[in-house]
This record gives sequence, C-alpha cells and structure tokens, in this order.
Amino acid sequence: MLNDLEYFEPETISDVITFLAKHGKDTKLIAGGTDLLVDMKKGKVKPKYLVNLMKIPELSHIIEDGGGLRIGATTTFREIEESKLIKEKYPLLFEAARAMGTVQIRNMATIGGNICNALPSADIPPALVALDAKAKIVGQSGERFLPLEEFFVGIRKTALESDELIREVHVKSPPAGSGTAFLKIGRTASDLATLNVAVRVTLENNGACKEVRVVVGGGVGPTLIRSKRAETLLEGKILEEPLIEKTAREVSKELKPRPTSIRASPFYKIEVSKVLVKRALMKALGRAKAGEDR
Amino acid sequence: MKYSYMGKGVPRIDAFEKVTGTALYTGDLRFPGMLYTKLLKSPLGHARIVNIDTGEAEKLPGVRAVLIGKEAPYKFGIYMGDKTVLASGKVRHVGEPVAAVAADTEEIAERAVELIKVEYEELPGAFDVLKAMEDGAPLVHENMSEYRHAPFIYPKSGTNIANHFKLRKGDVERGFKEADVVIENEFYQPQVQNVQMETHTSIGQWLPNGQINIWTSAQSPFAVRHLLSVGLGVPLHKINVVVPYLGGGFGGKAGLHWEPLVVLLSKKAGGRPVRLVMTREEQFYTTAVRQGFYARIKTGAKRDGKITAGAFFYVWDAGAYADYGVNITRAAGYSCTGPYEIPHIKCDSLTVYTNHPYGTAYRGFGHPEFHFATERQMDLLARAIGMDPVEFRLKNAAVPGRITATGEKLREDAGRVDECIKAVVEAIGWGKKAPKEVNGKLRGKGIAALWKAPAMPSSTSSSAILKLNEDGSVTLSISSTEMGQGTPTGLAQMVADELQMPIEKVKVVTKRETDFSPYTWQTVASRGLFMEGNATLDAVRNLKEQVKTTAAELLGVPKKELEVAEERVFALGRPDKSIPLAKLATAGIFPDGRGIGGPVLGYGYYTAEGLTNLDPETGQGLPALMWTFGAQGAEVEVDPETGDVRVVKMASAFDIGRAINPLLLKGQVYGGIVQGIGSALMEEFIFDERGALLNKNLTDYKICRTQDIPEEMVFIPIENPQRNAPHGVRGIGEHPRISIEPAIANAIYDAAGIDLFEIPMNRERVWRALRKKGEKRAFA
Repeated sequence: MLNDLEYFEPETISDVITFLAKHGKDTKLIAGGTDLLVDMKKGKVKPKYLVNLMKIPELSHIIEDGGGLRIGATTTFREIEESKLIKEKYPLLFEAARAMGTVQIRNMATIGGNICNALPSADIPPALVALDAKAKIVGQSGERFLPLEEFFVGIRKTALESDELIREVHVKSPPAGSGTAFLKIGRTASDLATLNVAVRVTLENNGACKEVRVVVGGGVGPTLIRSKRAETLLEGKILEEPLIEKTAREVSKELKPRPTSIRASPFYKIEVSKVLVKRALMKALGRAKAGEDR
Repeated sequence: MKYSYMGKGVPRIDAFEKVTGTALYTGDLRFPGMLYTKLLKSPLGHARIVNIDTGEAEKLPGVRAVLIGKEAPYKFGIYMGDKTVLASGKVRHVGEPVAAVAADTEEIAERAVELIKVEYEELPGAFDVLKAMEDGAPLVHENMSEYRHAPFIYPKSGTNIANHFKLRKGDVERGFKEADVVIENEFYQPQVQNVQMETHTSIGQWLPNGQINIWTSAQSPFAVRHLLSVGLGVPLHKINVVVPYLGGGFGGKAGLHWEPLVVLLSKKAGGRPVRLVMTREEQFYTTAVRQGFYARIKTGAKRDGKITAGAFFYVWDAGAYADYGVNITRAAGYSCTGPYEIPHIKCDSLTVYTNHPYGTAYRGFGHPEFHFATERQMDLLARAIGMDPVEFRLKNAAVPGRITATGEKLREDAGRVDECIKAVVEAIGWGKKAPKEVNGKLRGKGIAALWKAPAMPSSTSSSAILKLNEDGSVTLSISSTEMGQGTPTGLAQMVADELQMPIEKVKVVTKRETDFSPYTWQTVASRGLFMEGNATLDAVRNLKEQVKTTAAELLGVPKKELEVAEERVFALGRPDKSIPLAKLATAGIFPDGRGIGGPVLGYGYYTAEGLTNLDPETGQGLPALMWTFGAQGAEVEVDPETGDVRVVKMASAFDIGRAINPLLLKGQVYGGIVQGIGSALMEEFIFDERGALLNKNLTDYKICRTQDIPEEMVFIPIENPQRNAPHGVRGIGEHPRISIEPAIANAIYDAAGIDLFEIPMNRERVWRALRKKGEKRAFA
C-alpha cells in the first residue's frame, strides 16, 4: 500500500530543480514507475513527495548531435528500441534496450529511471558504458557531466545528489572500425539478467585493436564491471581466438557475484561469464571486420 | 442430419464476454457496505504463538473486525480435518495467516495489520521432507490422531505421516530374482505454484439470521458448501455459494480455501460482506501450492525387454496441511507404474507434513511428479538392457487385456497407449537421422508415455437441468465451473446435436449457484466433459420425453413415433403431424383452448459406475472410471557451454476417445505444454534454512512466457471411443501437462549424454551435469 504523500507534476526542468533544492531529501522522482511503484507498494520506499517527470517535454527525446546521441531521461525503452536511428547507428543500445523486461514494461520504463535505480542486473547500463556514455546531470548548482561507470556507486546507489536529476544521457558515436555485441542470460526471455555482457571492439586500419570495452553486468558485483584487464590485454593487438579466450578468463577474475543470488551461484556466473565474454568479443570482432557497425 | 457440431472446432461460447472484458469474475463484484481484508502472516516456519495483541488495531477508525485463531477453532479439510482458517496455538509455515482484519478500505486494513503485535517462541522445524519422516523429527501436528479423516486415508499417529498408501501385487522379490537387470534411482521435484492469473478471491457474508452467502473463485461450489457446513456446523440449506467465471484454477482452487475466513469476519462485523483478494505474494506462500516430491524406484527387466518387478517409494512434501495431498498420494500410488503392465509390484506412497506452505491439487494430481520418475526410469532401464526406449515401452504397454497395478483387466475400449506412442514417434521423427549439432548447440529427442484416471470417490455423481424456453431455445444448467477449459462449449455442442437445433439457441448458464444449480461433485480430475456430458445427455432424453408426451396427445400420434429436430416435435414422414417446441414450453394447448402438460424442465444425472474401494493392505480394486493414455515427445537444443536448454518441438498424442471440439482440445494441449515447460526448466520454490520462501513473486519465480514456448507444437488426437462415455470421450484437461518433464529430460540425455534426476532442469543444473561428465566443449 502506498504511503500518504504529496504528488506533483511539474512541466519544466527548472521547476523540478527548484523543488529539489527545497525538498530533495524527502522526494522521489518518478518516471515510468516500474521499479519505484513496486518498492513503494511494498513499503520499502516511503517518500514524502512524489514528483512525476513525465509531463516535462524537454526530458523526452532522441537527438543526433555533434557526433553522438542525446537521449532524454524520460525516453522509454520502447522508444529507444523502435528508433530507426538507434537501430542503425547504435545497434548495441538497440540490443540492450530490447533485452529488458517485456513490451509492457518497456512501454513504461525510462532510460533515466533505469540508470537512477542502479540495479546491478540492469541491461542498458553495460551497453552505455561500452559506448563511453555520460550522464548530463542538472541541479541547483548548475550542470555537470559524469561518465556513466562513475555514476554507479553501489547496489541502488548513485553519484546523484538529492537536489539533482539526470537530464540526458550522451552517447558518443562508435568510431569507424567498431563492432559491438550484447549478450544476456536469463531464465526466461523476459527475466532480469543472470549475466549480461556488452562489448565494443574498434579496429585500426591495419586490423589491430585500437580500443575495446568489455562490460559485464547481471549481478557480478555491487555495480557493473568495466574490465580494465580486457583493455590492457587486447588494445594494440591482433584479436584472435586464443587471446580472446585468455581475456575472457582474465575478465572473470574481476567479477564478485553475491553468494545469495537465487538466479545462479557465483561459481556459475564466473565460469559462464567466460563463455559470454568470449562469444560477445567474437561477435563484435566479426561485426567490426564486416563493417556492420559504423 | 442438419446440425452436426460434434468434432467441429466451434469457437468457445464465452469468447465474446472474455475478450471484451464483460465476463464477471469474483473480484469484479461489489456489494453495499462491503469490507476489505488484509492478513497478518507468520514470519516464522514453526513457532508457538505466545501472545497476540490486537488492541491498537481494533481502535483504528474504519476497522470493523479483527479475528485471531483462537476465536475460530473450526477444523477444515477435504480428506483430513487438520486446518484452521487462522493459525491457532502455533504457526506451521512462513506466510500462514495469524490474524485477519476487515475494514472499510484496504489501506485501513493494512495499517491495522501493522498494529497487531504477536509474540512467538520459535520451534525446531521440519524443513526437509525425508528428515521429517525420521524418528524424533519435530512434529507439525502433535494431535494428528484426533483429526477426523476420510476412511481411505491412513495416518501414522505420532509421526508426520498423514497418509500411507500401500499397494502389493504378486511377489516383488520373486520378480526381481526373475530379472536379468535391476536398477534403482532417486528422483526429486520441488514445490511449485499453480500461478493462476486470478489469485484466490472470496467474498463472504454471515447474516444475523444465520444465512451465509459466498461469492468465490472456487472450482467446486458444492464442495465449498459441504466442507463449510461440516466445518462450521451450519446446515447446508443455510449456505449459498455463488461461483462466476474463474481466471484459472489448475487444481489450486479445488476444495475449500479462504471462504470460512471471510464468513467468520463477516459474522464479527455484523453481517457486512467481507472481501479477500490474495496478493500474488500470498498466492505463493499463504495459499496452497503443489507438493514437493521424492521418489526411489527399483525396477527389473529381462533381456528380452519384459519388466518383471517394480518397487515404488513415493514421498510427498505436503507442507503444513494435508488438503488434497493425502489423496494425491493415493492416486499416484494406485497409478504408480505409469502405463505399463508389471506383474510384481510394491508401492508405498506417503504424505509427509513439513513446515512448508501447504500442498494441494495441481493440474495432473501428482502424475507429472511421478511420471518424471517412472518415465526417466523407463529410459534408464531400456538403456541398461540395451533396448530402444520406444520398443521397450511398447513391449510393456498397458494395452487392452493387460492388468493394471490394482488388478484391473483393461477393457477392449480402454484406450491405446501404444497408438499414442507410435503417433509421437512418427511426429517427432524418432530414430530418424538428424544432425546432433546445430550452430554449436546439441540436439536430441526424448519420449515419455503417460496415463491418468480421475481420482474421485467411487460413487461420484453429476447432474444437469435443461430448460425449454418459451421461444423454443434451451438453457442448460450445470455446476462444473468454467475456468478456461471450455467444457460449457462442448456441452452446448452435445445439446445442439441431440436436439438438432442451431447452437446459437443453446445457452449454458455462466453462474454456478448452489441454491439453484444442479449438484455436481467437483470440477477436477479431467472429469467434466465425461460426467457432465453424460448428465446432460440424460437431461436431453428427459426433456425429449416430456415434450413428446405432450405432443403425442396434441397430435394424436403414439409417442414412440415422434422425433425432435429443428425446434419441432413431429411424426416422421407426416408433415401435418408437427408442433414447434416453442408451443410446448409452458404447456400444450388443444384447439379448444384446454391446456396440457406444463413447463418443460429436463433433468439428468450420471453416477460413476463399477468403481470400488481399494484394499487397505494391497491397494487392489477398481479406482478408475476411465484411463486417458498418452505420449509426449520433445526435441531439445542444449548449449554445451552455458547449460541453456531450449525446447524446439513438442509432439503430444492422447487417446481422447472422441474429439468433441478440436479447437478447444488444441488449447488444452498447448496450454499444458507451456505450463509443463515452466516446471521442467525454471519453476521451483527456493527456501532459506528456516523455511522462508525466497522467490515469492513473478520477478524471482519464473514461469514460461510467450517467447519461451517451442517453435513447433504438434497434437495428434487418437480416437478409440470409451464405452460408457458421452460420444466416447475421455478427459484431457490435465494430461497434456503430465509427461513434459520426462520427455525433455530424456531428450537432454539424447542430446548431451547427461542424466538428470531433479526438476527443474535449469541452466545451472544442466551446466553442472555437463561439467561432471567432462563435456569437452564446455569452454573455461
């Protein structure tokens, strides 16, 4: 049962900022509500004020801009999934958005809400980190940009201050020679991730690996994990299967799954992460070579 | 014949209502002054209730009644009177309701629940079904010997064993000596949930004049009335039970559940109607679930493939209360072999209380659980003697003339499991060359057979009323409820054919109401179309008799020369001797105005024939009104590196006697497959060490969804008519769900060479088995 609260529907971002400056600590911002309302109904979260962001037009958009993408915070997963621009130029985002929940959930859930909820099993954050995405954060003291991997601080914990909100997510266009892949394991097609992996491989003209991102999520730690070892091992090298397998083994050493998960044991997650990371790297490499991704 | 609906895929008669949302379910009903209920649930698995303080809750404005266990000492239970509506004295499982509040709104009720203070003293619990059978295990019911129970239930006083079913046939030791190969294996299935779309919903009213009114999402209105009457000591005619449409039952809404609670709350609130809707979470751990299951099976066979003996040891994790569990134990016990003839058999099937949520019926009534064990064992034994598993099954198949475990010689019209097996073999391409690997995934096929008869008292009966309306249309009343299975459509087809009238002129009453509706035992056991069908045909005969009697007088034609068709009564070949049914509905009229006859109300019934009790020591007798035989085949794909199993194709064949409505049949079969795949691959209750359910919601407990179903599902109806059945039909409601798990498990062996003995065959379990086997392709 929801607690007694005051509910607001501001129409501008500045109204939200003003409100948060005053009541930030007692306020929950709501977008799609697919996580928050469940928590509120269970009494896990009892905000004094509930501020709905869905009536603010300047928060919902997908815009191509200066070699990248700006996605408004209240853009729904369905809008991302159905964007021709994203499907063609950012297939990694398309694949990750589509992997989340059911159509019903994707019709409601928003990218900003998903990020701010900061669940380690979320699907779109690994893809965003693999694309070096940044959160555009606005608050009383102005605006700031934060790389998304720094935004996640722990399970359900973010770097957002109580008087701030995410306005947009900025995604850089993958450089020429890039290939990406998103793979997920869940118990059903619409499950939370037992494991997910987002990979970007960017090749030099000579075929060597210029830049790589291997990001593992699905409850392998308090936050998703961007593997530095993978970057060290692969960048500057010609990518071949034995090296990729070695890298996959190394990445698995960085994972620290909770022992209490009911979806899979830590042992399974660590061992099978090797399979997923390898498959994702091979797939991304294949796409990079084929020039499928831009 | 002008009208012929038999065997046609007539769209279900309730489709419009259900698709447009105008169909009413219990949760749609509102009454003036209605109150809302919330439950305080036990956080502990086994504990003495030291004190309950409801003072603060009662003071909250808007609270109309607060009820605790000791105010409601009534014992309920369909076969074993072991359950009170609220925990009394002690709690027996996490999630058991300890107190209930009825208030003006749900919000107030919930706030009041938070104000109730309970002091517990935790007791050692029985959280493992095998340990719960050991000497000195904590007793879930110390006073079990004082409970009243059905005569065919055999509790063992001073233990947690609520029923011990025994079957002894031949000499099992001699049978094992005759065998060339004997194997023994253990199998396990966890508790799971029925997961009906509609959670348990009841509205109850106990008026100051003693009248009790109930609206409820129950499968069996007359069982609710009977059990409530016995439990509360209220005469039957003072209780009226109304059941509208059900949003799925799957066995979980059979018998009595929360009806007594809302009624008692209403009494305390001065007779105001009280509503209780279970939350999804409560559906998992407060209300009834499917029992857990352990099996140890020993079977022996000769090298030529003939099975000589079987010893079956079945243990059922009933949870805190026996409910249907004790009868599932019995039904699985007398069907213990699966559809095969075995000369020497010993079976012990035991219901064991634990401190888990309480078990009840679930589609298949124990058969999916034990068939997983027996049909895996059939594959393992075939392998041990070096025979093809299909050939091995056919060699031992329980075909007409052979003897079942209870000593029944199968009649010529009993149905053919061999034909089902052969049909599935053909559909799945068993034995045909096929690639063992596709895109790095291992492919394999598996087959499993099955049988099931309705588990019901030997004298079970059903009745039907068919009313002739003033315009010549008819209205059929039955009490078998509609929960998705589509029985009313099949019955309407039968009536339209028998009366030779358009089906549009046949109405089947949607509401079941014990004050008005004709009696039926229950809507369970895949018995509806058979039992209600026979009763309906009897009612049609009776209606015809009535209209012919009157028409004979009016037309001056001997009754035996009259026919009924196209909404008329007429003499064959004499067009002048004809009268519309409409003119007979209220009374016939002679040309001079005199009336004859009266309103026409056809009545019919059917009582199960020839069934007997089973001998308490040997289990011999005749428990089965009909056996529906079947076979199911699976083709699966196994990812050797992740353990992921995908069901590519399922083929099913059942000897249904006669397909009344192929469209609805397909619905039943596909639904059963989807439900079975969920249990096979992902569903299971996961508890912590103190009995708390860790996955009591649909985020953490996964069922099969649209995207998870096989690309191809094939259904082959086999039609060998049953003698005593309406148009030869047999029950099919539960059967498509029964042998999914063993078919998939056998296919996984064929694909990956791993033997699984535990359900669910989730990714990690499969992956661990692959590792254990040393699957080379398992990278890492």
